[in-house]
Amino acid sequence: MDATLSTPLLTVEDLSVHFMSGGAQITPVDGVSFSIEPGEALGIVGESGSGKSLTLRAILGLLPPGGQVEGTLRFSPTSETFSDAAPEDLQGRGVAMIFQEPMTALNPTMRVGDLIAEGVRRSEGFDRSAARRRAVELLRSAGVPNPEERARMWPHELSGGLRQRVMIATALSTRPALLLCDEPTTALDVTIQDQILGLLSQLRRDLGMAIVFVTHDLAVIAEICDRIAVMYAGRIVEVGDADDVLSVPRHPYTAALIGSAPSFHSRSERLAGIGGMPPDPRAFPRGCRFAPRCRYARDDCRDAPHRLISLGGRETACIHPEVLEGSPR
Amino acid sequence: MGRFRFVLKRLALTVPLLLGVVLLVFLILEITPGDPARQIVGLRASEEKLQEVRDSLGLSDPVLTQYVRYVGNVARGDLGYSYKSGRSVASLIAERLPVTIWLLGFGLVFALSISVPLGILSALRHDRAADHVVRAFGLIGLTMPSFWVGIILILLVALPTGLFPVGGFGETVPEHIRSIILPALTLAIAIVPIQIRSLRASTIAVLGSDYITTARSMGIPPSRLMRRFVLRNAAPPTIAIVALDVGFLLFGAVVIETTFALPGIGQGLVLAARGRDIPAIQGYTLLFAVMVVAVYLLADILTAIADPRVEIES
Amino acid sequence: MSLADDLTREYAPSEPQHQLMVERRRLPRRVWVGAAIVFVYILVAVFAPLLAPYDPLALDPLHALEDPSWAHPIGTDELGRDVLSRLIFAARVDLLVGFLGALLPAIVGTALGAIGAYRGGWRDALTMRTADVVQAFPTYILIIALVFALGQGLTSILVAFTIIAWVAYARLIRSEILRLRGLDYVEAARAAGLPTRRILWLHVFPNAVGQTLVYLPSDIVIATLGLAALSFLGLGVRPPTPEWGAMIAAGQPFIRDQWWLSTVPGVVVVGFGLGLSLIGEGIEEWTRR
Repeated sequence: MDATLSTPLLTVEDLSVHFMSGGAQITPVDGVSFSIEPGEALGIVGESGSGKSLTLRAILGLLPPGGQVEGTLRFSPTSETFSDAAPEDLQGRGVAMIFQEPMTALNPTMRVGDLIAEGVRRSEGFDRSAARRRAVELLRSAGVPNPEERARMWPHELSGGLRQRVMIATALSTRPALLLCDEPTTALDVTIQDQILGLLSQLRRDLGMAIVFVTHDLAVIAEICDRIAVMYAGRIVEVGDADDVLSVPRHPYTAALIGSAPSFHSRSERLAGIGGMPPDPRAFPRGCRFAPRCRYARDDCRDAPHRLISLGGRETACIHPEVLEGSPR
Repeated sequence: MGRFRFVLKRLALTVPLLLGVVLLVFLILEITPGDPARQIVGLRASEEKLQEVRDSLGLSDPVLTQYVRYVGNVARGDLGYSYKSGRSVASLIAERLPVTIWLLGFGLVFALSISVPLGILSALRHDRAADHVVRAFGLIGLTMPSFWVGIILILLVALPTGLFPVGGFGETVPEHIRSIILPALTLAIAIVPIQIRSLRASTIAVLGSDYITTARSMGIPPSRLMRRFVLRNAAPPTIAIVALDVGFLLFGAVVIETTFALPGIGQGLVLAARGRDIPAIQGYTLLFAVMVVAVYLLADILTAIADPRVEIES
Repeated sequence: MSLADDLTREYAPSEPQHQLMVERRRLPRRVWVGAAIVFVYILVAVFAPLLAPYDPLALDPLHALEDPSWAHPIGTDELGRDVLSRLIFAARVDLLVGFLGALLPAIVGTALGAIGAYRGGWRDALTMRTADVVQAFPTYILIIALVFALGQGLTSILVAFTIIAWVAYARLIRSEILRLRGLDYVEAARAAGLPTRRILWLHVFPNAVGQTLVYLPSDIVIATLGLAALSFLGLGVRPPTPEWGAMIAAGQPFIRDQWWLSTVPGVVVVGFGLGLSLIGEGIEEWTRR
């Protein structure tokens, strides 16, 4: 990562998410920090329950009822900076999000063109017909064939892949500088996955848009992300350049992830098991949260405070990264 | 276009339904003991006179013939003649129907202006204090007999203030309004709990759905979100449930008209039943049944307008 | 399913999916509160002759419309009868019609619906078409017409209720059976060669009945209120039988000065309805989880 003097597009500092569950407070996202440069693609990878989805939602203030956010957000789409942005402020103002399940993510009682037009009018103040025309354009740039016709259709009349494209067009309607992607390809079959990933890469190039891509699929991350952050049990455990991290992991969890998907270049859908289960957020272990499942764990791991240590161009939370030396993937 | 065909199909199904309804009405009154001819000629008339009247009324014909004749008459707008009141049933209905329409109209408006805000409030704050209060009131409301509520309103509002006449409908429009307010309010109280319960449930379901999250991520302001995204999706199930309860609504009209002595078709039905006026009962019952079918149809149309996923049943 | 549900499901230790058998969990508290209330009403109805201070039919025109006093805690009605005693005896009528007016349609409707659903074919079609026509009718209007045709009195009312209300039960049991029929364990039973009736009785029924049990309490309320309304209109019980709705009607002309004559019976009805509603809501909560 080259040292840059430009302001990061988005800085997340110490983000935590709290819920009350059965009388006790749980913290599924615990002190997460990262930043994204304009036009960059950051991947966040981890198992189910690692808190990666919640992290994205917290940025936009889209948590389910009962969820509370703590932390600092700094967003600078132009040269000014919104310091200490409250998450809801970012809605529709330069940060957009696409979701995993396109069937349920589109308003069933709205024609898709109208839905996109809503976003357009919100951010650009066009009148109805100008907004509709722009919506058609957006559909076209999302690769939807016959966009004028499709704009008049209802969500339930479209196929899964088309719906995902519609969702992307909807996200683009607010002219985002940053696109948050919450497992958008997980529910699609492999060929459509390819197309959507290709579309996202192309949009990044054409619009200079940054993306944060959350998934559990390493292969997808490898394909489109510049940097990668690995999350485990609510914390980031390793962060760095995607190629670097995936070839020379410096955290046992990352190594285990890679190891359990040895042919990830061919897009295995699920990670083969790592043995054991991620910890229940109601009872996170002390110290390093991966230690119970880590085969290199030592005694001092259970008392280690969580800190990201700089190590040759990337950061890792492991206090004994040397155990991985000599065993690149 | 799928929705349009859906509505047409429902319309087509209505016809046999209506025929079945007419049959049912006809049958019910067939089995009623009592001889209409006897009622006309009185107890002391001779057998011949009785037979004469029976023949002229067509009562000697086989049942099937009578039924067919009845259907034909109904189709032509002839609902029979009420001896008890000395008028055609159709004219009775024509005179009383507007009163009931006023009652139903005002009642529905009052009800919706209470149930929509409270239903949404309950959903937005669900499982919190406001929600529990609303639901508790709803529960009590469901168990209160509407005629009792009416009497309480008369006791607490009409009598002390003297502003709301109890009995009759008045001659002028302002009098109409003053006569209809308390009855309409009573009707509203009767149906609000069901509406709130249904609206609350469907709104909660909608609020939790992903497309609301998408809309929020687009920065759509709350008021627009409520109207176009939440209500529009929460309304159809509620419309369906409310429509299915139209029978209850009409009965409410019957009871409330009796309580407040409003000269509508509800009171008409009760008076006819008490006075054993068979043609009138037949006519009123038929009218009520037709109104129910019409409301079902209307509800289907409204749902089809609101929800594009409505399709022809396979 | 909302995100919150998904999330809490992710984080909660996995519980076995008891989709079929109702778990033995504790009944919510409100069921007990409701049951207690209903039980009191039942006691009053059963022990009416012992509890009522006077004969409910005893006329005493010289002491008509008296104010509440120690002798007559709720005063006397327009014919001099003790209101409290009439209230107590009325419980018999209202509870009887209320319970039977829900139970009879429940039995008839469940039977018809179950046979239709399980056997299918013309039985099912006939049942459902009939249900459609009956349902197309405004419920109470049809009841009025039926009671008119059958003659006034409790029997006619019960018959009328049954003819109308079976539909809901039939549809309930039908949708439950159709849903359960496709489940694996029924397939297994069939594959093992169990005869239809045994399968219905042993396996499908117990689970399908759950929904019916949820609906019953509210139906009892509906039946009771229906009787009260009919009696209020003069089309229900025949005088001088005491009945809560009829008492409300009888008291209406005297609302100005003897307001309790109409008010108190209404409160009594609401109390009964609340008890039942609590039971109903409680059972629903219990079966939902």
